[in-house]
Amino acid sequence: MRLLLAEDELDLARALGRALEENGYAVDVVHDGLEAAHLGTSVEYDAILLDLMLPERDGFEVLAEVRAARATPVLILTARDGVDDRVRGLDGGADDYLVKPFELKELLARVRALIRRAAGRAVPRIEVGDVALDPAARTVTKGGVPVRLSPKEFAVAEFLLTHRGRLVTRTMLVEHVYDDAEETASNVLDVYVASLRRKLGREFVRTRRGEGYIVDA
Amino acid sequence: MRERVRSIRATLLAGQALVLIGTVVVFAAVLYSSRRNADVRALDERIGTRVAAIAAAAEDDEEDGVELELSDAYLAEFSGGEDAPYFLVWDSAGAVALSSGVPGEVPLPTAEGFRDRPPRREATRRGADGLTVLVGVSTAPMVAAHREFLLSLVGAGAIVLALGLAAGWLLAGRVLAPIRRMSEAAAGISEADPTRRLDVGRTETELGSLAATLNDAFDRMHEAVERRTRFTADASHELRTPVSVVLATAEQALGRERTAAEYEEALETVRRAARRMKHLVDDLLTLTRADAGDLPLARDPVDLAEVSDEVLDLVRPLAAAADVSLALDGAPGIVVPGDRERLRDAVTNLVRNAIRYNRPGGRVTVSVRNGGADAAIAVEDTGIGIPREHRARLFERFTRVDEARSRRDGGAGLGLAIAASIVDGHGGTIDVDSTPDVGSTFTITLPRGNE
Repeated sequence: MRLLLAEDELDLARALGRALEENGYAVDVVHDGLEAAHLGTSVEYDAILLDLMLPERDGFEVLAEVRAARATPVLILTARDGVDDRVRGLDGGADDYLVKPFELKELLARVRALIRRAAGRAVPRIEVGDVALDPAARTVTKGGVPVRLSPKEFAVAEFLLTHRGRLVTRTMLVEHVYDDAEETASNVLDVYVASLRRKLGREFVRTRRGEGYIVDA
Repeated sequence: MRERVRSIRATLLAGQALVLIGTVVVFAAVLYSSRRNADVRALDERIGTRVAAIAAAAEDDEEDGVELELSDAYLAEFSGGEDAPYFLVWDSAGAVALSSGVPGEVPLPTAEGFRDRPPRREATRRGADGLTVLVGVSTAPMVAAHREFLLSLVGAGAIVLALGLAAGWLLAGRVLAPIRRMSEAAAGISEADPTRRLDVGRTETELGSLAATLNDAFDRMHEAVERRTRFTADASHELRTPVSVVLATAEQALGRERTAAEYEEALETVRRAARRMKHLVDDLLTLTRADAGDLPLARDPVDLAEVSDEVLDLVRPLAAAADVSLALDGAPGIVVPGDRERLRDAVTNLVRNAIRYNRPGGRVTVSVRNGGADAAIAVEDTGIGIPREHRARLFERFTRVDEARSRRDGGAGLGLAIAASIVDGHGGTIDVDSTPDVGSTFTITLPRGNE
């Protein structure tokens, strides 16, 4: 899952970005509204974490621009705790609102909930056949037996399972599993997919030659 | 509150009753005594003319004894019964010579004139031949009439008193009703409904102007409370960002085992945030103390050029990082009485802003001038200037012209407010002059005092 974090307070952006990465997200961090609007409209993120008080262009403006182009879930992070600001943010198209200072685990839970809702699921656990994935605990089981996955393997599995029944192109996978800073060699994906097949069963992921991958619903 | 109003009403009524009773009593007494005097005068005239007539008509003849040269018709008046006048004539030896039927014993008068012998009044006159003539009359009818008059006076007085007091009670109630309404309205002004105000009514009346005055006082208090509430909210708002940094950094670092370098970096970040909070708390404390009027300020001789030089030394690294050059214009010797540390803080805040809002390659000039009774420090920058609409609020707390920029530098928008409060504590003034795209000049003017 790939996130955009727009936060102008450098120390906070760094801590949050690292925490998100360590929880398996690919994160692009920007520090001003101009860049946030540019990336938010041009890249398909799984969620955007948006600070309201950004230089160049404030959070509300960025939100409006993103909403004009995409339906990406937006979580507003702000030091403003006024009801009017919250209402303005939510009515402006934001999906959730978190007032600083917040606990990291709450932020992570809200991001998971945002992504889950955007995928149209109410139940947090994803189950396909005898494979079950728990995004909160970051665990995968097959037939009730835990399976050890590397962070990238988990990210690929999570994305495929979230979009089960639909064709996932290699480009989509690359875009959602890697952030801007990482090397994105798409043939590495084949390695991860092969590894997932080995651990979760040959029939888990089907390959559509020249198109991409699909997990049956 | 109601008790108090009622007691004012009762006090008014008691006062009014006292005045009314006094007035009625004095009035009645005057009326009664003048009526009595008039009646007694009329009576005296009545018996006076009669005694004069009888004295003129009486004579003591050697042979015939004492005689009265008066018609029987005239004398008939003296035999009319109980309340009719009577007369007596004594001869020179003091024996009763003549008498109309007299009620009881009448002693021989010793002198001419009138005398009271209740229930009678008598007039005495010396006649010819050593005769003494007395005419008397009963005063009973007059006394009865006076008693009746007194009764009617008391009755009328009581009615006047009752009417007056009733009118007074109603009037006091009417006058006090607006006060009661005001007190009820004032009791209704609460934290939940702080904008409620007294009904002013007509401002030309005393109560109207009282209500208006009270409303003004309520407005000022409400404003002060709002200002304080806003200050507290702004202060906690400013603390949110550094607290977020501490919390996020610590939680992220504690997420798993780290290398020593990673822990060090996390701690460094936490220290930065903590320092920022310390600055903020220090600033808030300074402002709160200044508000309460107990910002301790020394009164030492302070050389403004020396202070400016110290400030420039302090901010040199900041200026170098921002590629801004610093200059000092002014020689030592301009001294004001003041608190060296606080004045340095004030100037530092101005110079920091001048560097922060400058452009790369820009310049900050601190100049010290002597203006007779005053001395001035001017901090001039070559920045973008301050838009006119921001200038009025510039010295207010938590005001930032460029919010994002100031926040990124750790500024909470308190620097100018603190500088203004310090300068104010010294009895000085702080002004700003700004030209867009040319720069701004902040000038602190301080009184030199009597050195």
